[in-house]
Amino acid sequence: MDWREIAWNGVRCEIPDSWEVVKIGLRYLMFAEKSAPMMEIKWGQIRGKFSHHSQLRRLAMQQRKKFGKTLKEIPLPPEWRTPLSEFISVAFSWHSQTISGSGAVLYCPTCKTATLMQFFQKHSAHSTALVQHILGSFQDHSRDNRVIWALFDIRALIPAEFDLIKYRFDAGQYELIFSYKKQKITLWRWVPASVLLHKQNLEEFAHRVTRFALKKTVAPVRADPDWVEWEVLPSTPWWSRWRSRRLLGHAPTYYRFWHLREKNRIFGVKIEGKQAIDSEFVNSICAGYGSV
Amino acid sequence: MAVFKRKHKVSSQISRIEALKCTPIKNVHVKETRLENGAVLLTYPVAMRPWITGLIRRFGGHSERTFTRKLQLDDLGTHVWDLIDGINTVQKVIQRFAEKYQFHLKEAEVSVTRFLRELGRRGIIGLQ
Repeated sequence: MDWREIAWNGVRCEIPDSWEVVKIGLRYLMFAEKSAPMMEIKWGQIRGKFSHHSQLRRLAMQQRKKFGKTLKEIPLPPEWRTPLSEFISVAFSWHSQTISGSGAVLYCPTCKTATLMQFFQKHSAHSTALVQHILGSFQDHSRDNRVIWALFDIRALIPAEFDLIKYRFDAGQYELIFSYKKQKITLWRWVPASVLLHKQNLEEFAHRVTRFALKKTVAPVRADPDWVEWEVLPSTPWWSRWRSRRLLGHAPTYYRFWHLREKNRIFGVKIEGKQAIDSEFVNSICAGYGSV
Repeated sequence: MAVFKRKHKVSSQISRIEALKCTPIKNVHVKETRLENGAVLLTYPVAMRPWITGLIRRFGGHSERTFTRKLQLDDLGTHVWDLIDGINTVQKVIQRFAEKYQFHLKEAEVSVTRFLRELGRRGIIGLQ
């Protein structure tokens, strides 16, 4: 079986290649195979004391209200113990007239994250090896202060202090915006590059999508047909200077766009902040961002 | 009393799996013109609303109940249009489209189905 890495807002695991992401939330992922739900993950940071039993009770009440399911706590299956050894876990199972499921509420004492993972079973149960592999690959915190974001065909490495504030996965265009204090990172991905760059070059395309005109304020750093980058200084009128000083400071906004010919994709990164942007920081963001 | 009993509508919607197995077919009344840049210009008949037909007739106009509209497809639309041959299923069209432009399969499914739905809404294609 082929496996694929999925990483979103702090959690990471491997799923079968035939599964697809069908629902995305800030702290929620739902996977399906041929329109049938397969697995669901919900997670969140816990402040204070965590109780598995109260979480299960809450979940049971929600499930009963929604689908009339009968959720009950069960002993942790022996084959789940090794993959979940780093977590404090409680297993559960439920069934309704059409579908049944089993899962676990996990609590990580290191990062104080509680996660609910459940596997849906409509026709046949998931194989033990499959569940074991998913649980064994599950992580809810990074070890190097950088968080992996890997969904569909993009993969990015973003400093852990940055929070995701906006995301958009439209056909042809993805956008992820992260923020930390006054700093903002925007990641873009467009496809198909062969069509988008048919009547314009990468520079013209970048200007069009970022909606800034080529003015004196634009200082190109490096330019080649498959790579453009700029540092855009705040616009000159006094009110704009005053506003940008108040909101973001006087530092230039950094843009980099590159065309990955072999994947037929265009990637874009925008970094804005109050202080001058460190080139090493820019390079680390751009180097960690790409196609899988 | 059954007077205020809610009537349950019979849903004619098909599931995603069923929809993907369908074969899109071009309307025989649609005229296809290949432009110099390779794009396709479709001319398709549109039925006039009865009250407009009545109004035209009252003012002594023609009594034809249809008129034509034009739709120019972009590069991606033209490629999908070329894949509609009465043999390829929706699933096959999505796969070929994804392969050609290196789209993620889910992304290709969203854009192709949206495009086919729009063509269907205009009566340019049908599904069988």
